[in-house]
Amino acid sequence: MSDSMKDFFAEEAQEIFESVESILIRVEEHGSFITEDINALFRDMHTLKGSSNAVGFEYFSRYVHYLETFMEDIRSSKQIVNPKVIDFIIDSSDEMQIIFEDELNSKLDLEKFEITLNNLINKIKNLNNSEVKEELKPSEKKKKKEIHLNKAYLGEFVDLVNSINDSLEAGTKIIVYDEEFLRELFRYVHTLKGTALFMNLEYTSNYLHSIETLLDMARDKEIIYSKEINKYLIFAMAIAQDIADDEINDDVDISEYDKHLKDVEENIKNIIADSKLNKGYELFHDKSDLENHESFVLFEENKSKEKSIEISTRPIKNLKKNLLEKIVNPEPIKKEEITEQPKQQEIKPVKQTIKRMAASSSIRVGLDKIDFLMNRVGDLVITKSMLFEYSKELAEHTNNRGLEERLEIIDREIRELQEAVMSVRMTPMDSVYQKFPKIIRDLNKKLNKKVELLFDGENVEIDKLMMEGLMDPLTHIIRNSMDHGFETPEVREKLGKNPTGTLKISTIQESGHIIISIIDDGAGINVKKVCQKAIENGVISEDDALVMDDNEKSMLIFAPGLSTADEVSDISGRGVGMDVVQNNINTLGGYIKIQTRKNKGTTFKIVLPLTLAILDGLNVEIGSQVFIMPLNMILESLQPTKDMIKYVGDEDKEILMLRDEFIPIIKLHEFFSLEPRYEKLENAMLIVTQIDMNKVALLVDNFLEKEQIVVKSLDKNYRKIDGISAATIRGNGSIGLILDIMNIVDIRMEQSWS
Amino acid sequence: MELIIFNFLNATYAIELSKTKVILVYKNTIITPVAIEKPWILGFTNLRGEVIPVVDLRVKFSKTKPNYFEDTVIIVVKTDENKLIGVVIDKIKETKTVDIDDLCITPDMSIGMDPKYVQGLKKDKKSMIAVLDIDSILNIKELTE
Repeated sequence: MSDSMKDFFAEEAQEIFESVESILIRVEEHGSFITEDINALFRDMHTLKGSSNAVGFEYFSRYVHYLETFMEDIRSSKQIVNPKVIDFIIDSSDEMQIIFEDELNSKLDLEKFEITLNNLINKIKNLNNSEVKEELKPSEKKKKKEIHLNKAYLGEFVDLVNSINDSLEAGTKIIVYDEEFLRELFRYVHTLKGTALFMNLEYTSNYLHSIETLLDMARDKEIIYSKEINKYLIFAMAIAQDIADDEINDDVDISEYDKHLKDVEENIKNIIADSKLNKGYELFHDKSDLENHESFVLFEENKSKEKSIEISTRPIKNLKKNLLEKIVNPEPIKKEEITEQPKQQEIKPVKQTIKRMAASSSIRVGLDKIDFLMNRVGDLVITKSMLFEYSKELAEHTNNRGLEERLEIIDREIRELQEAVMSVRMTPMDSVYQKFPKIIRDLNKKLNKKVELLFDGENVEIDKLMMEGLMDPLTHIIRNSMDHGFETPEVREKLGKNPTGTLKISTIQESGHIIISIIDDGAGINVKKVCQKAIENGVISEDDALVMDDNEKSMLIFAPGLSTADEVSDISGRGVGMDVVQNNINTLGGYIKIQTRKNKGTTFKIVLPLTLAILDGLNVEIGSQVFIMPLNMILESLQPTKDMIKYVGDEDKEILMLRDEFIPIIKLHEFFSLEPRYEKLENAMLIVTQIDMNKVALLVDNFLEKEQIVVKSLDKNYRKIDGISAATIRGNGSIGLILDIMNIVDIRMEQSWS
Repeated sequence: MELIIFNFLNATYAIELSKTKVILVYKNTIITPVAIEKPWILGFTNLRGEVIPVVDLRVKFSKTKPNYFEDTVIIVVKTDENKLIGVVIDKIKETKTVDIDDLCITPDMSIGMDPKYVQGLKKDKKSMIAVLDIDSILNIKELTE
């Protein structure tokens, strides 16, 4: 057979393998086949068999033949589909690829091949025969539990585990463990435990609880964190990962899990006892060989801390390697034995690891790559504008508009491209909200409360990066509200409140900020208690407390280590959550405010900058300059008539009278020290806006066109400027400045008072 | 140490070449002014998708109104605060490698600029080149006060 034919087939085969693999990954995720998948797989196998036979891949063709038959059986419903069958197909398709490659390179070991083929035939037989029985007889030592795995948290889970592993790894090199290290480690474990809980990984969460307790004590200096503890935690984390993986596979071995849990609890008890006495101790000598611990394999790769890409690799291959060796070099097993105890020994199901699930459900791309894309598209827009101007000039001279018309098409295409690139970064709040109903439902059950969740502003788009940073704080606040904020239905009824509480989350984009409010109608923060705790813990002095108002005092809940809960629960109460909340919000460049009233409820207001959010703006002319006014700030706009302008006190203090309402006027040209185009207000334009219930009219010279713009921060290379929230790059490549209405009004108000 | 040497405020100054990122021709650069900022903050321009401030230190350090000619350029510097800032200078002369030990300590006398902004002096044939401590000049706090 000529090599070129073989090469040609090799290419085709490669494509088919890829198609098979993508189908299988999807199938594995869903746990079942759809008819289309089965048909596609059958077709693929059929093509492979036919073509390979034609170009002389004798052995490969033989192997595929059996798979084809098997697929045919599935297609004709002779073979039932269950997870084992899916695993089998995945295994075999890996094997199939290896055989193909070996035969292509003329390296195929015929003896091995015969064994592999026999194995395949036997497995198919076993699956055919024992399927029905197997399904009726669930294995006893494994508890079957319906897991509604919340995949949304997978990425976070893996990240956290990596962070913990990194910290612990770093911990092996540290001599003196400072507070920062312990606090960080604790925070990671605390969050991981919470995340595990939300993912419904009950066992993992329980297991982590012990580790958390240990770290909590270390953080509070009740015990001394040592190298030995660090070493033990590395070991314990490995077990935790194991449990998580098992749990995801719905494959938790209860007896083993109990043993692990007992082990960790015992060990930690010992550590605590020993550390308190401050004497040396030896831990876990019998099982100390960390390097040999298998579970590390799952998480080992990708330990780098960089914001990096995780693109689904083909993990099946790596994982299968060992297994494959076993299959290829089997100990002589008699056929009877195989039929007797088939599954456990031969076909180990492919383990669904957390890592793999995270990888297959999404792609992570470094933010710098998206930034780069955005900037290149921006350049393209500018180049296009230049071409446009040139073509206009050309059209004037030659009277030929051909170029311009064609450029219109490019213009549209570029705009679409720009929107597409931007949309990669933007996510509607909806995707944040999605995760909360479940939390509320679970906590309602757990805490015996009745709380209804309401949403608002689910279409407001925010930066993906910001969203990721927001999940944690929002979850913490909600958990906290549920735990401490809301009363039980009985108490609520006694207080004359609706027995069902309401938790409302709303998001608005206002004046260059994204404002997320979490409003509950619960008991309100017990300001006295918080204040007292803060004094006890030395966060503030008694003198400080005297001059603070209730809202300021309620902010004390963000102080590290402060919790008013009398008992530590697994929902909240360790006093970590809230300081994490504030940290996270600050990292995003935002801040948080609290308003609380006894028995009326608490409002958390998170104010975030827009950074890369897209904004609908109206171009307004002020003197010789054009600014951008956020469209959502505009209540109405008008050209005032003479009788609408009233004067207060001296002559130049104008006020707008609009439908019997007096509205103060801010002259934007004065604010920005620009020469106005029109002296008289009747010639200019007024934009009415509303801030905190107060209406204000802003004076500009003219309105220009509306525009959708990408917000770029000024902080990055400069600093915040009064009255300007951010900048954007216009079509001609110049910079446009976005008005910060809230800020302008604030500054003007202050000036007029002083 | 490689220096970029230029005319500025009727004298010869230099910045470390490694600090400079790009050089823009002033007359081809669109700058959006911000009148409420200090007069030497000319405004903002677009550098490959980044919004960067452009400053004219001649306004800050000299009373006379600066002129803008064909060969007036903007040197874009990356400061130690990790900010990209454009600085208007009169004319680029050359780049030159000098030994860092050749720099003399700035005398506490007037050389047309506050000595705290000068890294050192370099003798050049007849005249002197003042190597600017561009990080401290362009420190956002210093720059906006």
